[in-house]
Amino acid sequence: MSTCRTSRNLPAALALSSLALFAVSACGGSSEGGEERVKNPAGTPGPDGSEIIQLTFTDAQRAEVEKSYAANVEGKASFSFDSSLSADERTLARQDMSSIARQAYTIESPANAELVKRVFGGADARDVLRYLSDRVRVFVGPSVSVKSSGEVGASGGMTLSEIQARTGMESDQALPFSINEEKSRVTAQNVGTVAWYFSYLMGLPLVVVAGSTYPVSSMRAGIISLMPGYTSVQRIRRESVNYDIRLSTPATLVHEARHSDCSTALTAVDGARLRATRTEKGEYDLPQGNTTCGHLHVMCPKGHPLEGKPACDDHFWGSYQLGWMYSAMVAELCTNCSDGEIARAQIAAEDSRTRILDLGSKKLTDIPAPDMSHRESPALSTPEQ
Amino acid sequence: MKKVPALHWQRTLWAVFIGVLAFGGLAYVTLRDRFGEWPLQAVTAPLDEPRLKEAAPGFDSAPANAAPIDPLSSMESESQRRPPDQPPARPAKAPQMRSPNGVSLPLGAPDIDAVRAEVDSNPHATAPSLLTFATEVARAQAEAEATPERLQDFAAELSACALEPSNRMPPPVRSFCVRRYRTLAQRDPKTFAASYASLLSSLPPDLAERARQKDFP
Repeated sequence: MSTCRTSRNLPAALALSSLALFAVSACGGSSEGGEERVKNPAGTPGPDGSEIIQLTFTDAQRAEVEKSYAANVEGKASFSFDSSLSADERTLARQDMSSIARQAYTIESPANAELVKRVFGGADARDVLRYLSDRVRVFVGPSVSVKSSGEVGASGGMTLSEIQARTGMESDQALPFSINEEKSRVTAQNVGTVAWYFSYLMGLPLVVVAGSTYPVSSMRAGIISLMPGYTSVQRIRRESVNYDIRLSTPATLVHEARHSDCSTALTAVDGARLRATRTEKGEYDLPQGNTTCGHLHVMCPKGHPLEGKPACDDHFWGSYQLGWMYSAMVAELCTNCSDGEIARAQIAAEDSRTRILDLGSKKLTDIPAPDMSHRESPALSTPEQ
Repeated sequence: MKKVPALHWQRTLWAVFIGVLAFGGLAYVTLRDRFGEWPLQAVTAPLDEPRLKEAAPGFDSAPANAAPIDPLSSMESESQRRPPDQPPARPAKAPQMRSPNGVSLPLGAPDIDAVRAEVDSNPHATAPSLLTFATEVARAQAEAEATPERLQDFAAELSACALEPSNRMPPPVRSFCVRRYRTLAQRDPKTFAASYASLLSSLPPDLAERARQKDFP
């Protein structure tokens, strides 16, 4: 269903429009109205005199966040923060985790409580945190690469020359994940899932290399790359007051976490179908058929407001629905959220639900609760030709 | 013995009675038409307790060049807060984001093309312009609620946003505006319940149905 392919600087990359990772470089350059707002990176004035800047914490604020994180998250869930993260990225991620952990929900209806429990494992903010920690192991910075584990010295991996021989790659094109200009507004990416797809289809043990090295033997590797959009804020200037509005929300992390789940294991048929899309340049075109392994997105169809964008789900309880559910919990059930948070959650919920195809007028509770378990896909028995 | 006055009194009573009946019937028909779309729950049960108890709550926005310590608390830095003796500013409006063809949408809502371009850059997350818009509307609402005479204007803008006929309006925005109007009706049913019901009856069926839904009923 995807039509976006990468070719510029990702010769051996999967054309993962479904995961937004490479779709950005492949499709993001199309010129549409308002693009100047989007493409302008931090520090550039917007059309209304506001500007988008990167958020920075003072030392005192950082210390407050650390204190809150220690009190609300540590001991309840475990996340790693790679050394490739900037201090501000790390602090903001910790602040998001603390915020999630501190939210209080009042769920009166047993049916609602049951649904929340089925999805998050319990009806408490700490359960949302556990949902995240099961699927997000480490936060890394925006610049990461994916390599054969042999290439970085782990046993059992292939050498770079072996990879080249198998894939036809040139020596300086070792599966790079690189940030480019068009990606400046991306908030977060589940690079672990994409790397796992590489590994599965190419039959290679791979690692994600950031400050440290992380194996991707499972889709539950949970490697989330925080991108510049995560720490972007829009500075508003008014006569009486200036303030900044953050351009991302914690719901993004709930969304990304769902990409770590393979709800329906890939079969040999799925693998063959995916491999068949490989081009001479080493690209794959995902998804093909099974979208629930990694909860891959599909192109929004004709007539949809986001027509032609890889920003829809063709199944229930994918990443958009998890984002919708979490946002709806904040909007409707949270008893200690600010009105600003509630408003942002309201629009995020509305936005997320419009991206679920064939939803119609269904409510969350109209859709049977999902199976949240993860299934490993058996390795493909034949090496890729 | 004059019986005429008694008869006159009796007739007067009948006239008053018939008048009351007529007025009641007329009022019933009028109210039925107006509130026919109002959900039963809203009539039979008290509306939800408003979450916003303060005039100026915290927002999930950061102070200038500084991240919020905690999104659950106020986000404006001390230096940016109004002095206590300064009158409240006009209700804030979201930054005016005109579409390429110059269309200006109610409440400064982002144009669908701007949202689409943002989705191009970042398909996973809610478009930044939507988040900015929501934050600005919540801020404007808090300011309007602190100044009752401005609240009617703000409600009218929310209504215009919800009813915006242009296809340049992103669908989540219209739905969001209805929900914010619902918040007004919950907080001040005396003033806004009837107009909210009227708004619902004016919406396209799909939007009206969504507006009546709670994700967690």
